[in-house]
Amino acid sequence: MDQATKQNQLIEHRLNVAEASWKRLPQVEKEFSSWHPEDQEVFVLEWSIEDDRLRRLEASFKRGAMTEEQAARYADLKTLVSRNRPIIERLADR
Amino acid sequence: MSDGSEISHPDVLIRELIADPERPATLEEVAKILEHVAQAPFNTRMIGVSAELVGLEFLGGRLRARQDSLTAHLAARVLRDKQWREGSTKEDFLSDIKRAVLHPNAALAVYETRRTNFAGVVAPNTVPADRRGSDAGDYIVVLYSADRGRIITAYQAEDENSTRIPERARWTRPPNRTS
Repeated sequence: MDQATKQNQLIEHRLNVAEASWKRLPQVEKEFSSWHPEDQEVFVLEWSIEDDRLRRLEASFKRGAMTEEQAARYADLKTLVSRNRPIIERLADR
Repeated sequence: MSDGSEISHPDVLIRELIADPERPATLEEVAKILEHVAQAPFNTRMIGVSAELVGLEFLGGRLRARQDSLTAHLAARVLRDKQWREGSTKEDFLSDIKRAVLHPNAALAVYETRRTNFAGVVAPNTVPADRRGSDAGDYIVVLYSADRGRIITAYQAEDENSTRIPERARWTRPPNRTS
C-alpha cells in the first residue's frame, strides 16, 4: 500500500471515529447520571483523545491532504462539534 | 496525617493532600505515591466496549459488548485511537504504564471529583517506536483511583496541558518539573 493510500485511510478512520463520538454526546448526556462515577470521570478525561483527533484532522485539512469528500465531511463535523461541545463541558462540570 | 517520621499509606496520603491543600507534599511522599501507582493493578471491573469495536477481533478473540476494563481500554487505544500498534499485548500496555509513572519527569496531580479521590499522572511517552500507533502522542496520562487502589485508564495525549485533568487538581509535581 502506498503512502497516499495509507494517509487517506487514516483520515477516513479519524473522520469515522470523530463523527461517531461527537454524534453520540446527546445520548451520553441522557445516560450519564446512571453511570459508575469512575466511568464518568474516564469518559470526561479521555475526551482529550477526541480533541487530539480533531487537531490531527485540522492539520490534514490545512495541508490539503483530504479528498473533496473528506473535506466536506470535515466541514460537517466542525458544525457538529460546535453544536455538541457544550455537552462535554457540562459533563465535565457535573 | 504524616508527622515527618513515617509516611502514610499512599492512598491515605492522596486523600490527605486533597483534603488539605495547604499541607505540603514532600518529594519522598510524591515518590511513594508514584511508586504505588506504578505497582497498582488495572481495574478489573467489566465495562462497556465502544459500539464500533464490538465484534472485532482482538487479542485472539472477538470483542463483546462488555469486557474487563483492561481489554476494553487496550482495544480502544489500539483499534479506535491508534495510539498503540496492533499486536500490543496487555503486558506491553501495563509495562508502558508503569514506565511512564516512574519516569523522572512524571507530573502528579491529585483531585476529588464524583465522590472519588484520584491521582493523575502525566509523563513523557516512552512507548517503544515499534509499538506506537499512527496517532501516538508525546505524553501518557494515567488515572488512578485512590479509593479502589486501581488504575482506571491510560492513554496518550499530544499535549501535556490539554489532558482534561480538572483545573482545580492539586499538582504535587507539576508538568515540566524534573525531579
